Amino acid sequence: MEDKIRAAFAELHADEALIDDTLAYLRKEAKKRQNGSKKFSLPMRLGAVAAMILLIVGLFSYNLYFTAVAHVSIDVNPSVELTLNRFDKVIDTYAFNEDGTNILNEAGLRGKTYSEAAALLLMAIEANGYIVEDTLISVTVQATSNEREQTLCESLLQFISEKILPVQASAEIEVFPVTAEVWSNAHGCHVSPARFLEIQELMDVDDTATIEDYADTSIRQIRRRTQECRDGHTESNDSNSESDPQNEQGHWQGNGHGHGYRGGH
Amino acid sequence: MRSEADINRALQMYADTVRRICFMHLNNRSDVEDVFQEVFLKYALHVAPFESDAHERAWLIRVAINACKDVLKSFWRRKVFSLEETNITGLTIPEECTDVLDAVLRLVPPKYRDVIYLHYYEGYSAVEIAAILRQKENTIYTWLDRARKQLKTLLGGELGGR
Repeated sequence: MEDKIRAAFAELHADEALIDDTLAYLRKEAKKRQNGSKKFSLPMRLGAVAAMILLIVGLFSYNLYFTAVAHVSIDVNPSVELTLNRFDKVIDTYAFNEDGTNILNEAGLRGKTYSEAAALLLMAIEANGYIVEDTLISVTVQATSNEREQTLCESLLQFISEKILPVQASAEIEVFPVTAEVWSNAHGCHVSPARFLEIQELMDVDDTATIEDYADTSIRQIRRRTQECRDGHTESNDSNSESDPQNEQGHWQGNGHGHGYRGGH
Repeated sequence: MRSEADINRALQMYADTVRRICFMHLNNRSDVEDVFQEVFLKYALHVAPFESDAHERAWLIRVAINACKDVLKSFWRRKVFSLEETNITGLTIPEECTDVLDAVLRLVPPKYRDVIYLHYYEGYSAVEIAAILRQKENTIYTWLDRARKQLKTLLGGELGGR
């Protein structure tokens, strides 16, 4: 029986047609696969890998470039803010008031270094007549590191002083760092950090004062009003009120905010 | 992909083996062609070297059996009726062999056909069949025993084990 089984199976053969068809099929498959691999030749594959690497590097660089590491707010009367990346380039601008919007429209600042942007900004502010006698230029810096804050404050104070004081010797310049919390709260109230702190100080001595009331008032005027309240005066915050005893030219000022850099001439 | 010379050699050596496995599972020419081509395509794409001819043969047998099972499991095989069905085309079977082959084809379940073929024709031991079919050795012994009994009933006579 075993032999019969063996003999029976031995009679079964793959016919020539089946073998030929299979060979033809395999040749076709081989050609197809060869063409498929030709479609993506080595240089093409290398190119694709290079493109992928470039894309990854590009995305990483984009992310690196457009990550904000510092905010420099400049409040003259136009009140604007520059957002800086780690390369000290301006990646965004923000206007706290209408004057600020006009100034920003005039000076294209994106992509400039902060010193270039500050120069252009001050030129536009000056050209529009905002820098007059006794003008107070309040600059706040909020950065991700204390070291960066300190560097920015020092260089901005020096840079702005060099630019402005030859034009308007009586101008007063103050540059100081603020915490992220102050910066965030100020933005929540749509005022610059410097103005926000100034209003806070006024609110300490004037229960009736609110941020909304003084949002459009210059820092100089808010400071005068605060002084009036401290001195027991009850006059309204008039922009033409008498000169501010705190802001006599040539005096460095402290206002209790714990600010580190204030400059005057 | 393997070279054409390599594929030709494999076809020369194993075409009949694959065809016999197809014979035991498929009765449709088109299914046989599909499985036959698929098995040798898998061989052509299997570029890893085989340890020996025996290893190569066992690999092809396993691939062929699995390919046949896949075809039988497929939706179309079960639902679509073919005019060629029941007609074992392309095979010239001498009359004296038809009884034996018919008896083998009537073995149920089909896995009994595999063990009968592998044991009595290919000459594999139960241990080797267990390795090829990925089954336990004892399972193969059981299948062989049951297959033999079925064949004995169908054909009469005695079948011995190796």
